[in-house]
Amino acid sequence: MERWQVILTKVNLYCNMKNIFLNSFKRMIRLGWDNFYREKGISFVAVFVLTVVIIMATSIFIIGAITEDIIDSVKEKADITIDFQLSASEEEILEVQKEIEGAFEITSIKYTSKEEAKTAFIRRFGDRSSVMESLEEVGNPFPSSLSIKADDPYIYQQVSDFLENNYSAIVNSVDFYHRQEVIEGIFSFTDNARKVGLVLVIIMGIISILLVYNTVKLAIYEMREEIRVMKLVGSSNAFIQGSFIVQGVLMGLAATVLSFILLFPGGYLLVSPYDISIDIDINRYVFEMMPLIIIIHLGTGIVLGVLSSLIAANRYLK
Amino acid sequence: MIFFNKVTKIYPPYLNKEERVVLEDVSFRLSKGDFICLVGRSGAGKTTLLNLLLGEEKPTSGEVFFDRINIHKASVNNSHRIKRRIGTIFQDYKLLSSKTVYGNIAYAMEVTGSSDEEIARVVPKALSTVGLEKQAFQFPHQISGGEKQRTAIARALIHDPEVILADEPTGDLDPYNARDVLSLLLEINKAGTTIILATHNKDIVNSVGRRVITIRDGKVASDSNQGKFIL
Repeated sequence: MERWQVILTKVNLYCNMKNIFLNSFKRMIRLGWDNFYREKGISFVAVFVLTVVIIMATSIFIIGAITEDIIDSVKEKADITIDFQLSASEEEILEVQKEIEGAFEITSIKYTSKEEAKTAFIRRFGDRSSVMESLEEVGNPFPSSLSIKADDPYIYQQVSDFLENNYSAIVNSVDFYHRQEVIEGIFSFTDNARKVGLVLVIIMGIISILLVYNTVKLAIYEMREEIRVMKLVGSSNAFIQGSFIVQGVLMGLAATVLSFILLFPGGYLLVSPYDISIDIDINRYVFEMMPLIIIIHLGTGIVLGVLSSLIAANRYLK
Repeated sequence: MIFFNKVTKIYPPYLNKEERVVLEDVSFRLSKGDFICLVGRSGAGKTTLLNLLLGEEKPTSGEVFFDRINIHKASVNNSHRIKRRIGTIFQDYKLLSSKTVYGNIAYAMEVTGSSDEEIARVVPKALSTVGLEKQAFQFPHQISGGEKQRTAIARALIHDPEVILADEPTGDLDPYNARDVLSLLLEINKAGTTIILATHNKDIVNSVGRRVITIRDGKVASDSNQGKFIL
């Protein structure tokens, strides 16, 4: 055979393969849609279950984010303040601040001078003349102070001990010793809240996956004869799996749209911005996190739909 | 073309049942254009033998060759190619109830990547071969058993197979329809297609008068060219 004939044959073969691939791809999508549409009842049940799971996943996400924020807010309340002797100079206090910053893993440290403390006091009680008169008589009784925040109550203990051992001459008081129980209680509560949240997420996740998998399995059980016919007439496993992937994607998309319609307008009507002492606005979460929530919706719906369809269909492909 | 080489198939113990030897040391060869009747009582191992040829089941020992390719060691691609060279017909037709006669035949081409033009060109020819032009747009529940089986034959022919496996194709049909289906198979065989007909119908086997392989207790009890049904 001439060289050009060989090349022509190869080009023809390539074109044929390409056409077969494109035709198969087109038909895979059409078949996935046909299966989804034809088995309306089962598709509806699968979409409904997926919708419930998506709403659960989104709720877990939103509740998780709010809980994290509550935990952070509660932690914010846990800090210690070091009051210095009135005689302590600003240089000495800033030296202590530098040492603490270098030696301990704290999240923030704030220096408040005597004047700043007095200004803050006046801002707060300036409208009470008797208080202001007393203040004028006394002068400036407010000590300079350092406020420290950390992620671990153990750090507070270390800082307090460090100050007591090295700077007792200029430190007047550290309020950790009075608030130790409260601070440790807050940290223990937040740690437990996180653990409980994690366990709940895992349990809900497992229940959701089982629920979706079993529903889709039922849907595919109804189609086992069709799968057998497809295999008998020479369809490849990849083609059959492809059609179920399309079906899974369609279920996921339908469930995403449905859960979106149910969750947001419903959620908006049901939950007015609620205000607790730590200033949490649920609508802020829902609407600020919209892109992430859409990704969670699509991700949960499509991934669960596709995975369940594939695993269930594979039973009949073996 | 087809070679069963010392094939044994044993089903492992399942629940309270003991292991079951379905086929034992089965060997035979088929050439292109052969028409063989595979006979034996129900449970003799005929369907298992066909499933082994289709690659639906694996032998416990021995090999099954199709055109010198070991079916059970073929790559996935080769295995699909082989499957398209084998058409299948079953007693229960295996038609999709949601599709018309035309749709059922076209389906075999759709799932293997044929274009719409190709389907529109080939399916009417297949319908005409089996004489179902008028029933093309009827659904399986609207046609007779014989017509269903002819639809299944048209579907089996759609990829122009080299072999047709027919597992009790006349089992659910009255004698007239059974005769029609048999005539169709003989006609297809005349065109060069190898036919393997599994049946336990004595009249069918005797009327065909071709090679008969008798399976008894999982073994080849006889392999005769005299076309007589012996059990």
